[in-house]
Amino acid sequence: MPVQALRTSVAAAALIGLPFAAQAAGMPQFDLTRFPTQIFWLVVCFAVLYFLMAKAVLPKIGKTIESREHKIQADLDAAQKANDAARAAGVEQDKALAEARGQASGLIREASEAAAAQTSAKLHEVSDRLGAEIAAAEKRIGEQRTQTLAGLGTMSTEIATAVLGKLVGSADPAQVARAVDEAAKAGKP
Amino acid sequence: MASPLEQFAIQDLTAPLFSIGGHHIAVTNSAVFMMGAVVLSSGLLLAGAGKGAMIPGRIQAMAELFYEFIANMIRDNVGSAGKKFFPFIFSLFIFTLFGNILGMLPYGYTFTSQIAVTFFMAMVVFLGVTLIGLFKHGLHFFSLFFPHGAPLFTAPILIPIELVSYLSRPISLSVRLFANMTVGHVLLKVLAGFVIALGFFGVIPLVVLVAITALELLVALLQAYIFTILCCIYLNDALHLH
Repeated sequence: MPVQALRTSVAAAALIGLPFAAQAAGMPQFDLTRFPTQIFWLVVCFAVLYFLMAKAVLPKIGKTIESREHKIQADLDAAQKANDAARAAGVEQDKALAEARGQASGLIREASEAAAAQTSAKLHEVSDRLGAEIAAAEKRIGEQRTQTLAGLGTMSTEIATAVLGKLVGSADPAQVARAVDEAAKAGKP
Repeated sequence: MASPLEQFAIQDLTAPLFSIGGHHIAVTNSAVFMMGAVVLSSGLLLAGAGKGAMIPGRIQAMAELFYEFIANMIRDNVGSAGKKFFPFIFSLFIFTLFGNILGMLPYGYTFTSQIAVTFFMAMVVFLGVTLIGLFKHGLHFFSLFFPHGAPLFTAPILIPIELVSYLSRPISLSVRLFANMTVGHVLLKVLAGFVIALGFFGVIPLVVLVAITALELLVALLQAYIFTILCCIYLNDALHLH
């Protein structure tokens, strides 16, 4: 900064040449006869300033700043407390929510288990009933088959007797029956 | 053209009011600006301290800025032991600062450009600090003149050096402020003379003059700060030795 350099050089010149300049130019600052007046006014003015600062200004400003810091601290504390409370409420809410969710899923599981049990019970019942009906039907079919088979022997004997009667003229039904029985037994694998 | 040093002359504005030890005391131009600095600074600071509002206005913010500035300076440089001296250090800063700034006003008078004023302030600080150190530490205070941990045989060299540096404190403290303010105002006066002398081309020194005025405002602030912080450092030395 050229301005700064200029100033510095003037300052250096002034300081080096100060004692000479003071005498040559009669620098008013070195006029010792004017010292007492200046010192008198300095002491008076500074004393007044010091008194005003120490008694009136500084304690008041200090108190203001302190009370402001207290207020800010109190506000910060209150905010912190509110924040903590909000956080605690949030945690509680989360807990309640998790509990409700657990309960709900328990209920759903119970309900679905109950439904499944009911369905399988019904299924069992139906299949049992159907099984019984099928068994009954099979039994009936078996009986009819036996009956039919039994009827088949009699019928064959009758047919054979009738055929023999027509062919031979007479036939002993007992003999025919025995022959048919034997033939049936022989025909069986 | 008047000598650029003429502005520093002390002039009586009234007849001598009374005399102390054969010296006649009159209200001088320097005294008027001292009173002005006291009235203006106390007025501003009293107005700033007045309401003590939770949310400060401009003047209150300025007063609090000064307060915190000096309070921090003392806390950083002196520590908690410096609290007692807060009003004094604060007054010293305000007095120097307003003296420097008021001197920047046209037709103003810079009482801080007077070696009588700066040297007296520096001497009060120097003697006060020395007495505080002596009262606090007794004869142990003189260990200040021998750096802690230095080999004993260096004492014949170190003690005179430390002693001279200690004794030159009021001189360096006062000459720094006095010389800075004097040089600044001499420079402004010389440049202002050029502006008139060069006629149309005086525009060039005028531009420089404006720049120098801004610089001088900075110097006014800076020198008040330096004066105050050096007092804090000296106080710290006396309170805590090494």
